[in-house]
Amino acid sequence: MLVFRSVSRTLAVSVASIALVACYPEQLDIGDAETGADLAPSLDALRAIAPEYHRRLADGTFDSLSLVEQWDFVVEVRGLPTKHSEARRAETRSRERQWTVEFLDSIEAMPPESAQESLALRREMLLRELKIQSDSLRMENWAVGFARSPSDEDAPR
Amino acid sequence: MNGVRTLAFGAICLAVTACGFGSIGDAKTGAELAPSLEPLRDLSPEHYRRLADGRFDALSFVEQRNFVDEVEELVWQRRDAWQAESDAAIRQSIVGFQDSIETLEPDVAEQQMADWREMFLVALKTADSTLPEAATQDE
Repeated sequence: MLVFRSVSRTLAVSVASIALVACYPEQLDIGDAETGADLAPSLDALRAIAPEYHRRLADGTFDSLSLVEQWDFVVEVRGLPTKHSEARRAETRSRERQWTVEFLDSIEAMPPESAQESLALRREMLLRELKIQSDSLRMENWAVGFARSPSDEDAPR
Repeated sequence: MNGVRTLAFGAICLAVTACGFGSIGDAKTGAELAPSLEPLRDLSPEHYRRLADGRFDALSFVEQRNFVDEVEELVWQRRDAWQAESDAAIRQSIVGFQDSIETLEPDVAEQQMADWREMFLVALKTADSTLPEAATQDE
């Protein structure tokens, strides 16, 4: 039971981390689904991007697997290209670079005072991005620490 | 159910913590902000130093943009590494559970099995929310 408790916390943190990244914690709700086949109809994105995985859930193949095999399946699904995958991050950065070029071009046409003000605002936005990254790390460090720390039940008596 | 409760607890904690997410207070420069970026200091001391000693503030806007991108990439790498470590640890625990299942009372084993399966469904549901459905449909 203690092992299970510890692992369940690890899994909780793992899943919660994804939820954090996606900023959609409400997506944890699986309704009344008790099997992969029950859950399949609500997995629209999986159906669109990886129909084979969706089929294996919908037709009960997933439900007939052993626990380890089910976990491997979950990890494979999580390994599919996500909204935050490398390619998309690169695409976002490329767009940001384009905006930066356009922004720098636009401030050349501004009066010096307005240009300075505009630049200061943009620099502040960069600081905010850094803080968001750092806060995100802080939460994940906390989550990892929580998953690894012994619970009260685990503590030596 | 134990696992699901823990899962809910994790999500609530994250949501609560997220309330102050990204606040930079009165900081106007990287040097002023640096003291509040402890996790970044642990992740990349060199990036942290460049913020704290004012080198970041002396950069052009484009260079600052690149600096922030570098930090973001490091955070993603850290996240990916931790995720892989976590996945492997969970797998090992499942194998351990399966190996010891015969030593458990049948109803206890059944309940724990159900807990695991429920958690897998939650993980699948969450993963689904990270998939780029709209982009795929556009294509």
